[in-house]
Amino acid sequence: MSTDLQLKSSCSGCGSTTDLYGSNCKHMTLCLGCGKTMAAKRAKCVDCGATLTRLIREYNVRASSPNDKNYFIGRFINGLPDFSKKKSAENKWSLQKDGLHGRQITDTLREKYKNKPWLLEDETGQSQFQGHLEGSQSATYYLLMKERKEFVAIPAGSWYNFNKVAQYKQLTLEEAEEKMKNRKKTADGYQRWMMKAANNGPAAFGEHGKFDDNESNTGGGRSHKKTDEDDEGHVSDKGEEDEEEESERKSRLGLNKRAGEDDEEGPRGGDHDLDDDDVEKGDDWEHEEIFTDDDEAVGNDPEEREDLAPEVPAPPEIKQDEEEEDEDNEEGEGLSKSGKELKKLLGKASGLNESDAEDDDDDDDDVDDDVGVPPVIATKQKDALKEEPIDNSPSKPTATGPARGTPSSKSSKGKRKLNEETKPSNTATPKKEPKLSAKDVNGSASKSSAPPKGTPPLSSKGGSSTTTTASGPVSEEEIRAVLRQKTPVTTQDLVAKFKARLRCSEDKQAFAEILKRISKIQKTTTGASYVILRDK
Amino acid sequence: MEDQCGGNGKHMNTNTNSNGYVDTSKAERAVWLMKCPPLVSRSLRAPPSDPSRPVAKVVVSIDPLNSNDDDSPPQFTMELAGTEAGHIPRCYVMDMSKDFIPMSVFSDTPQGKISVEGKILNKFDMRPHNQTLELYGKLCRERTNKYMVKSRQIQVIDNDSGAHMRPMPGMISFSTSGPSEKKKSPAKATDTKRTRRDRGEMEEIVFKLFERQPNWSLRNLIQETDQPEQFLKDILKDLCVYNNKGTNQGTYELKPEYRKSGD
Repeated sequence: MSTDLQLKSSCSGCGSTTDLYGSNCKHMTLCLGCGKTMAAKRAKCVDCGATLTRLIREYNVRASSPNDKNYFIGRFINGLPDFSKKKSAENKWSLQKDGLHGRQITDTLREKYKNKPWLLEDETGQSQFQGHLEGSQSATYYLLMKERKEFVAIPAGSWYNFNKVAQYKQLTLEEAEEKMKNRKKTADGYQRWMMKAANNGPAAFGEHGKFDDNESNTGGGRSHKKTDEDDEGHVSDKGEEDEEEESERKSRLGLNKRAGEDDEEGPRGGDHDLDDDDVEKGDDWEHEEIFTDDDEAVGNDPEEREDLAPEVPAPPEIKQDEEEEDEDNEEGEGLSKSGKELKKLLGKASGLNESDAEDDDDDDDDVDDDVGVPPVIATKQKDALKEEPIDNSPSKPTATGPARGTPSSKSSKGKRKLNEETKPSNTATPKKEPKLSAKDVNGSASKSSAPPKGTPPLSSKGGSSTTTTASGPVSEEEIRAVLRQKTPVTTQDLVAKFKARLRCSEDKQAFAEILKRISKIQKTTTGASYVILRDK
Repeated sequence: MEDQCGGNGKHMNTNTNSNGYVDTSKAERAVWLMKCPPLVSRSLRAPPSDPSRPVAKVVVSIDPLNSNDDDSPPQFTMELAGTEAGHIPRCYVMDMSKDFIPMSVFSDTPQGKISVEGKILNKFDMRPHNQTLELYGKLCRERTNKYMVKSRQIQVIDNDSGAHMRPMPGMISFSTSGPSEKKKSPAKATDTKRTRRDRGEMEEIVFKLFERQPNWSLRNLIQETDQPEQFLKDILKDLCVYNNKGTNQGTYELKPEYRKSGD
């Protein structure tokens, strides 16, 4: 540190003892005026010869003595409070932690309320401040306090931001009294409301009032006075009722009012026993009023009926649903009926003879055509089917004729006719398949066997006919016809053709036997084996 | 600093520990607020062996020719009296700022006594003086060199055979389970892919298989045809006969009407 400045007791120029400064070279002591003069003249120091440019003062800085005081800073954004009013009115200030008023402060409490805000307020309560702890101050701050030409450096602690607290108006005695009066008024209103409720709620209240009236009447002793007082009471009650009705018409209290009226009728009857005919007139008038109330009640009914009106369309919807259900049931019944008919027809066909079976087949064809939906192609197929029976019918008698005869020429003719018969049957089967595919499924399902590839019921009926003819030569004739048509026929092909008819094990065995008797198997070089008719 | 506020006769409460009022006798005293660098705070805080010795010196300098003008306010400098070794600058310029929020200084004691110590008149910021910039530069250089020292080093691994880079023995089981999982997924795929063929096609296939071999077991047929088991059973029920006894036990045989006899 540089050498300390030692100010002399007086100015070296003019000898004054106030407002003294040292020169920048620290060799002279000058007052402000002499300093200015010398600086203007660019005078030099007598001792060292340096030019005077600035006047200086020096203050020593000491470290703060260790004590228990904790210094903290309070920032007042709205301006500092007046702590110096002490002289005028001895205004006193109090500063304490929030929630710590009037307590004996201990270390535990101090630690607990460390982060609580400060509350600063004066004695009168006109000025109140609330100080919140500011965020962490990373920098180090020191306070320099002047004491007798020296500074004391004191470290500063926390920082608090003090904000002014909103002040509520301090009411004077008169204002407070006015507010209390207002409260009383509201209380009166509440009492009025209570009175109204009492009139409405308990019916006993009304009866009690009337009993009082009766007592007063009996006290009077005069019939005229009684009538007058009764009329007055009725008028007042009616007025109240009207007001109540106007205020609350459709509320539940209205119902209570009606109940009250009903209760009131009883004591009126009692009065009637005691009083003259004039009272009777009043009763009639009251009845009329009650009737008007009933009219209003009746007026509510159509509204309720209107409320019920939107419910009316719901039942027809339900009915429609029921109708739909009925239709579904009817459809099911129709299916079951058709199934029954098919079963009956099948039974009949199986029971009848060959010729009768054939005739029934024709009838079945007609029935099936009628049942099926007729598209354009279907109509054409119907026409074709109609032609086929015509072809079949003339061929039958001619066939029977040569069968009975024994000449060779006739027998050859018969064979040719048989071929003709077989051809149309073969051609007919594919035509019928597309029509009856759906029903075929039903027929096959009814027979409770594995479903085939969708063969028509006619073919199944043909199978039944073959079963009947299994013992007879018809099946042989059919097999022979197939073998003749296709010379190279394998067992697989043959079985595939007659698979629909070979459902029962008996049918299969018969088929195998017929094959063994009629045909033989010939093996070729390629390895395929063909079925060939034997020469008889 | 003398504790002149020891006696306080203004409290109204009987409880002496909790004073309800603030001592405002020194409310108007002027206080300087100084923001200190760490070095300066260290010097000011150190307890000196000699209490009467000052820790610093504040020099106020004014220009006599312009003492009353605002253009040249008084200049403040602080000289530290520290005796520490090193390149610590001892002369600082105190920059004064006038426009700041009004502040007061309060103090409280463990006994709960609170007083107003004064109000802030000037606020100062400190920076090294121009005369000591060389020292400050050296101080910064030392600081930088101190932090440039590396705390971590690179070293070459001695054992570079790579044995420690291989997976641990515990991982072997995981690797073996991997392929097994992979094998399972294609099997599921085949199960999902299996679909029914046309019945006619299936019958043809069955006939061809029985031409090749007269007796087949259900499993072998399923493997050959790759068809659902139930579907295949239905077909075999129609075309074949199951052998419960005999040499061909447990196999299917084509029915006689579907077989090609050697007659």
